[in-house]
Amino acid sequence: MKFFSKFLYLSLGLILISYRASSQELYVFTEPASNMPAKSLGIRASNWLMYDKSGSTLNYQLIPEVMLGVNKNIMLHLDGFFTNQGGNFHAVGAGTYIKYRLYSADAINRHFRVAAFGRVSLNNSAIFQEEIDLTRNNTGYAVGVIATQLLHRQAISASVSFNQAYNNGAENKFPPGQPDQAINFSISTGRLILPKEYLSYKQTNFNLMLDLMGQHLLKENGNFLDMAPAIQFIFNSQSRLDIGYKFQLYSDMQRVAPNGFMIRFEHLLFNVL
Amino acid sequence: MKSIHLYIVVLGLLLQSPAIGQIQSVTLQASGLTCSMCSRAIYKSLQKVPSVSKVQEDIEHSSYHIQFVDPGKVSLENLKKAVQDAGFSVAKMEVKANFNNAFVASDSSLKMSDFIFYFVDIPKQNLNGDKKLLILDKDFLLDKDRKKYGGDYSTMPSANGNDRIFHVTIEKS
Repeated sequence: MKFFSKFLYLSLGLILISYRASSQELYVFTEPASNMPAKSLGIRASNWLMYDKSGSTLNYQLIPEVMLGVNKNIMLHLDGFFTNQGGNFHAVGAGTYIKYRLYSADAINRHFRVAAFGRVSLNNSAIFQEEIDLTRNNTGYAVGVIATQLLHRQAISASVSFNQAYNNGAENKFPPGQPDQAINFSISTGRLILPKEYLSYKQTNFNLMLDLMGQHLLKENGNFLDMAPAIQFIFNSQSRLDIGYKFQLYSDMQRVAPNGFMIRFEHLLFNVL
Repeated sequence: MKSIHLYIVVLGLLLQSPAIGQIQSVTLQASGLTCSMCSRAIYKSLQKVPSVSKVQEDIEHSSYHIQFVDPGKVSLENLKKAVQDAGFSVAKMEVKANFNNAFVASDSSLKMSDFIFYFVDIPKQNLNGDKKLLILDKDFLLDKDRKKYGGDYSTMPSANGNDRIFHVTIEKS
């Protein structure tokens, strides 16, 4: 109960901040309900630099990603998972993420959108934690929904998903007796800070982002809650640089490396498919 | 019943009227966005529409002024679809056309290029020179603005099946 009241308190705080303030929904640690433009192609490299709790080592993970706007309702990500775990840099898995637009209501400088999403990931890593992480550590699938409200220079989103983990590849079995199902949830907000007035597509945009992400393990209780502030630059209305720091606010489950930096480069190519 | 009435009017018109106006340009406003990356997605999508020669953007107001290589081949449906493919909606679309003594009144229509403009809520007048026609059909104007014109208009094929009928009005200046 303590966990949920903390989440609720923080969520309300975040919503209040959003309304007081005014891009906004290109979240760094989560996805918005909006899709990318149809027939466009995005390429992305996410670099995770996480501090290992068991020692002073730094875990480096690289997730290169290709994103496709199949049509206005469907987008698809294909990603690879690389890590320096064990001393040498190597591939440990791959995944796919699909998002489908369920609802969209637009007004001038505003929208409300709801999307369903799914993820399937294959991973060969050894599992040393209770946290189920389908982007970096586990084989499994996730299904969920996201809702996003854009209000001029501010956006806010919420998501919830069901996650199922299975045995990882390379003989790395899911630890017996450990909960293999979890509910993930997130609340995210972003605010367009600069430019104050748009004059050209060449103006660099500066956004502030904040994500709140949690997990609740099913069958046996276990929870964590992370917070992740980030800054974002958008160049030429086409390329993105995100720098974020994720840290644990609360956890009663075993996690290997919950705290650290994420640096991401992204470039969008319009009308190429 | 209304649509049957409209078909008869339009069929009559098709039999007697030559094209009496020429499209000059289209200005549209998109809804659902603020950021320049979103705006650029629409800009790029509009540039890909056949016959579009130039798109001038006003990012702050999510507005685009569109010119054409051959105004006779403009497809308003394709312009709308380009905005939707980029992930957004058309909040307002105005067609600037040049007229030469064209008589119009409410419930009258004019054929222009491959479509027919059916006039709503205007006084009887002769149109001369450049005029801006506001499209009233669904997905071409915000719902709250469409309600001001009292009808649930949507584009439909004309009696001959080749042209599309758009409901338009001339905004009082």
